[in-house]
Amino acid sequence: MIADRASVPVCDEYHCITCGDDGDPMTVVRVDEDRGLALCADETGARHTIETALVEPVSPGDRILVHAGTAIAALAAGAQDSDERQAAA
Amino acid sequence: MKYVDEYRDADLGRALSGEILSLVEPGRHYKFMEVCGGHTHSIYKYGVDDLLPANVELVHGPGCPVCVIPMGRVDDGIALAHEEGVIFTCFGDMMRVPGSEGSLLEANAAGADIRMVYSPLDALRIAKQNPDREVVFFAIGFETTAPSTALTLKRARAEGVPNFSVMCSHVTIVPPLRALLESPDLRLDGFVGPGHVSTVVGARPFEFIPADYGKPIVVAGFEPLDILQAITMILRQLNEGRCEVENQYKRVVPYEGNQRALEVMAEVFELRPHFEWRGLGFISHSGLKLSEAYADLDAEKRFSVPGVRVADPKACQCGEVLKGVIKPWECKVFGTACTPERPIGTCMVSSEGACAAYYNYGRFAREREVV
Repeated sequence: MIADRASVPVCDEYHCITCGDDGDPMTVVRVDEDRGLALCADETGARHTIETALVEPVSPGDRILVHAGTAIAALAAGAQDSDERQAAA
Repeated sequence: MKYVDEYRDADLGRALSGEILSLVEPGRHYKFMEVCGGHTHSIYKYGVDDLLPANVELVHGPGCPVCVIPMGRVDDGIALAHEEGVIFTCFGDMMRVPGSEGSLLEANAAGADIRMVYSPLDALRIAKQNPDREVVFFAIGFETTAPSTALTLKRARAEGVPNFSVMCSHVTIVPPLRALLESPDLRLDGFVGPGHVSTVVGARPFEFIPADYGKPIVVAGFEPLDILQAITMILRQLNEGRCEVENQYKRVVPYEGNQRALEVMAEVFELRPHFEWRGLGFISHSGLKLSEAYADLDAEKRFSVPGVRVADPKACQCGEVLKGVIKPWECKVFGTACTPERPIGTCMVSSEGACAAYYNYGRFAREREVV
């Protein structure tokens, strides 16, 4: 692992997730189709209410990329595997 | 951690570093601009620059939405925040950006009700919880963030939340890149393209860079191996005489972007004729405002704002840093009069700004060099 030079928590004086053009990978836990929202878990297990209109339909277990409370991309398992091979090449 | 660890593998990092060394021509100096503030942050955080040969230089571009907000715009926000009955909401870093007479954080201390939010949805939630107050969201960011604001405005309309409005300062990525490429004092060999902006707009909008200016661009992810691989891909293009848009970040970025996001942005926003960028001046068609259909949710129409242009502080060289003409530490006030605790320029405010990223991480490497 390439080590962090410092621990950088999310959205504090050292980092702003929105300004940093960040995308958080999250897993869909529960879908509220009527409201276009989904309860999602981030990598630490913390849960967030996420706007899913840009990547619908989503189902529990789907992986999505979240920026500023909105899912901007679906993380497809196939694309991920192919990119890992590319990164390892 | 899945999706992360694979891209921080030290052995792969060393292998890519060796490949970059084998691809560079000795005696030639390479300058690549990373467009996105997120890349700048990662480069300093992980020491990516330490893994590059001495003749490969990374120049930090204008891709931090906080860094490009001019002082007059901050003053407008503060004026709105002081309006009777207003709750003013914004992203975290925006709180510390200096206006001509202080920051939003100082305005908050002086009595204005200013709250930090993580997303526009949070601001809408505050509006619903406070129906007797006017809630204004200070919307900043590139095309990554703009769809989130657009969806929130549509939701506010659909749910009938009359006390919610947006002060729109969203910007678009292509016009400033074109302005930078037109700048006579800029010498670049290629670009590391913005990853998450491209998730929304796709890689296609960057085709003008190789076509019109003869520079390669590789859209890249934000992990250290992503950035190293993007540099490898640019060098391969240069060595093979190619000049094109390549997509290193295929796991997230479709070449055509997110069509739904583009549609919702087209519905809610329209281009401003001009928008002022800190250090870069006015750039045509580079900023977004609310479209006529959403004009009733435009905070600048609901309230009066001063709209006064304020010149950047004379000592501040953010403009030259944003254009990559000077490095952060070459600024006259870097680390002395201008620090993250007391910033003069916005590049020192946002942790994604080149000056703050370098101050927080890179200066340690430079201190080692000096020793």
